[in-house]
Amino acid sequence: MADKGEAASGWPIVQGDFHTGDSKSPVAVVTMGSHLDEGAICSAGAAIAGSCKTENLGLEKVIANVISNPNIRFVITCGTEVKGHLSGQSLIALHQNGVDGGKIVGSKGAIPFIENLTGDHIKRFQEQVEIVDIMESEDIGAISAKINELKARDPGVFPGGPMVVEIKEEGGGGGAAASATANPQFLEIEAKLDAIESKLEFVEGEIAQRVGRKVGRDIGILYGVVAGLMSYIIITELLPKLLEILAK
Amino acid sequence: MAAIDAMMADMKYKGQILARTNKLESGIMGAGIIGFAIGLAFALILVVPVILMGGV
Repeated sequence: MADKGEAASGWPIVQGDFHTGDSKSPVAVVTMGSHLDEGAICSAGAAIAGSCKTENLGLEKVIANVISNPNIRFVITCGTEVKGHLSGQSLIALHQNGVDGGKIVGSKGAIPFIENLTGDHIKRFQEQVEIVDIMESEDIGAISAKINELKARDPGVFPGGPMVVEIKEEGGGGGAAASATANPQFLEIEAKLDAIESKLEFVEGEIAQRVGRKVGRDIGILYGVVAGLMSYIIITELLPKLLEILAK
Repeated sequence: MAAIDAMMADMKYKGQILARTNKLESGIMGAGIIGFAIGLAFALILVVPVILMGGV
């Protein structure tokens, strides 16, 4: 049995969209964009399980709750990736590369800026936990099996005790970050709306051209009939009279 | 940002109007000659029986 320690008082210290299980468990599960049965995941042995939809505040909350519990030694990333934000890829990049100038190195997310964590917090996160990447997996059975596998190789409590971080949710991210946090699928919906708009513009152009052809043909017919009748009148009526006048 | 967004929306609207007008004109120009030929032929068809019946 691996050594166990105490989590920070009142753990989890940051509130969010997650469930908690046994705080002595070495496994935390982040389901990213998916809403799975977090209760069942915690029953399977996870200390904490929940979604993480943003690559800034969401990741900060995950890290704050992980480093405030030194018993957690593995973070499983699973579920579907959040389009645009790429919170899963950003968490893995943060663990691998850290932060440079407040930006997660190697993150492909839209706004990958960390504001509430210091270098010490990130270093602690990197040293305390191992990321286990099973992204795109939503199978509770597979996640439970992975939790049991990781519990079997629990290295024990991380030395140094819990590290407490204060996460400020307001006034940190700016307007764009706030709107993106409010609707994590915003970018995907925007892209789809753009595609629909492009198709509508194409259809409008085609309709305009068809109407133009019809109008052009009708006007042409009118002009043709008038020109034909005028020619007939000139040749049959006016020309003989003109020739007659000239002959005189 | 709001001013730039409004300017972008305005430019987009003008672009759409320009594209639509251009499509309409190209349609009219493309079909006008064919229409004229049809009209002329129709006028001749009207006139031929008159000529044959000695109307000239």
